[in-house]
Amino acid sequence: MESLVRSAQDGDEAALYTLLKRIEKKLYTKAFYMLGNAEDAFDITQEALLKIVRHLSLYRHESSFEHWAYRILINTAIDHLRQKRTDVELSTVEHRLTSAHDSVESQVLFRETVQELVEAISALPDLYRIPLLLRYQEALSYEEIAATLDLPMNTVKSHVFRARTMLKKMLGRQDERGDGGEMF
Amino acid sequence: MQLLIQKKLDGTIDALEQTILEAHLLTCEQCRLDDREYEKLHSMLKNLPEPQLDKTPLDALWPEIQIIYRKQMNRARKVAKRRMWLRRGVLAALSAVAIVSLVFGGERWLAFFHAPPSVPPEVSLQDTDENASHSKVTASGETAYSTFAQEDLRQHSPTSDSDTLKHSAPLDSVENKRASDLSASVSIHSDASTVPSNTKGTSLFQTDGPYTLALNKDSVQLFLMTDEPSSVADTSTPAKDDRGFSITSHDADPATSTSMSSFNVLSVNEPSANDPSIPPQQDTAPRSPAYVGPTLLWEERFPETSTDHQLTWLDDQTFQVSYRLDGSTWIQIFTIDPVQHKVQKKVEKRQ
Repeated sequence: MESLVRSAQDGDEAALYTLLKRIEKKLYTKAFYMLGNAEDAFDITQEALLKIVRHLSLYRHESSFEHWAYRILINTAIDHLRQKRTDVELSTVEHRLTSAHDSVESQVLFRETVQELVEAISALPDLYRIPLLLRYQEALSYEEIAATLDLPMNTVKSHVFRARTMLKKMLGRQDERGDGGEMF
Repeated sequence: MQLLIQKKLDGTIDALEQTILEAHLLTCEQCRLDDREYEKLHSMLKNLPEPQLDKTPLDALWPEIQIIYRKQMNRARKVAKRRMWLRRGVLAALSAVAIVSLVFGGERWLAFFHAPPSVPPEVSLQDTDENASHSKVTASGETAYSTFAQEDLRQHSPTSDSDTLKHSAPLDSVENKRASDLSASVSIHSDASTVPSNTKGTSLFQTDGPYTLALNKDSVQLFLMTDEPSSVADTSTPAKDDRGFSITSHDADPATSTSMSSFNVLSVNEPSANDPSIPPQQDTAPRSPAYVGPTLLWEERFPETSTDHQLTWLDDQTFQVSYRLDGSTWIQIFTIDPVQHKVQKKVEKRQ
């Protein structure tokens, strides 16, 4: 990976393409979970790719290239969310989630637990979803999340705890609506 | 209890909290269920599946990325090239400064180190005429050029039966001045380069012959205009004529000098290099083996309070100098020996 980066920094276009291809899917996955929808994830992934190319000469090989690229994506996604200001109240999330189950198709879609979880995550308010994903996807410590989001650490902890509780609650409700059995 | 369960998930629960939680879970069915659900959720969050991606963001964006990347690389190459030229420019400038320093600074240092270690005692040329005091040559020169010329004249000017050449200052002090006054040393060449063609405050009087007179503010100078290397200029070994005159040239840096940055003077009674009994006097100065340019033959300073200085060629070997002093007009007529290039005062009268 690092040799590819050096070649790309030296003007090797093929090396640049290979490099970006390797990280593209991971960038998109993170963007998808952070933003909650495929369309925004696609746009933000492209924006992050452009930023990576523009700032490639500034990469100093001090950390892994992937980690450097992920940070660019996370910051791009956070900026996007701040611009959109799409914070949604819990009640709205619950309404969206509940409404989705009103149709038969939706109920079929949510049969698979993972898919339910993905939907539940996307339904979380940004305020809770982002620190939760940084905690699980990026394996960042609470201090690192607090620094990234410029929030107090206790606030970050509280948001992660709240996100888990909401997810559990939403998934449990789906389960109740489904077969009435135990969650998961 | 839910808080403690989540702390357990994060690994931030302490031993006491762990004990309390475990004790509670033993007795609370609901909390045991919550604990299991949180554990499962935790596990799933750590292994989120990759979403399906129908079209890749990179391929759709690649043409745009290529344009940006190529522009960036071109800019980087230009910057690198500019830096390279800048480095070369700096090196060239430093080299130029070093060369200039060597040329001019080198002349100064050579002049300093090659200055004659000893100078002859004051030379006096007694004028038989009682008014000869008016034609005293002093040590102070108007320009650095004439200062050097005078210094050399003091050492080497031909003895005359009728002229008196007096120095008002010891020559070693003059030499010290040469060594210490670096700016004067530099100005030698700038002034020398303008003489005899043009010098500020100086009028030039030329003849059909090889001589040129320069009427300065307070002195008269006679130059021999030498176009080709001659015996007068060739001083690789100082020539000595039958009257004890030897001729030498002074050139601070032979390697870099031009005809206009050098001048010759006649020397008086300079020890011959061929005479081992007489130690060499001032041959430490670099010499030009093939000198071309004006040679200062003679110089006379006007009295300090004199006015109306005038200079006239009477023929190509005779010239007249006149000035007013204390209400009188003084006229002096000089002739030049074309063989020896020696100046003699023929007439001096007061009107």
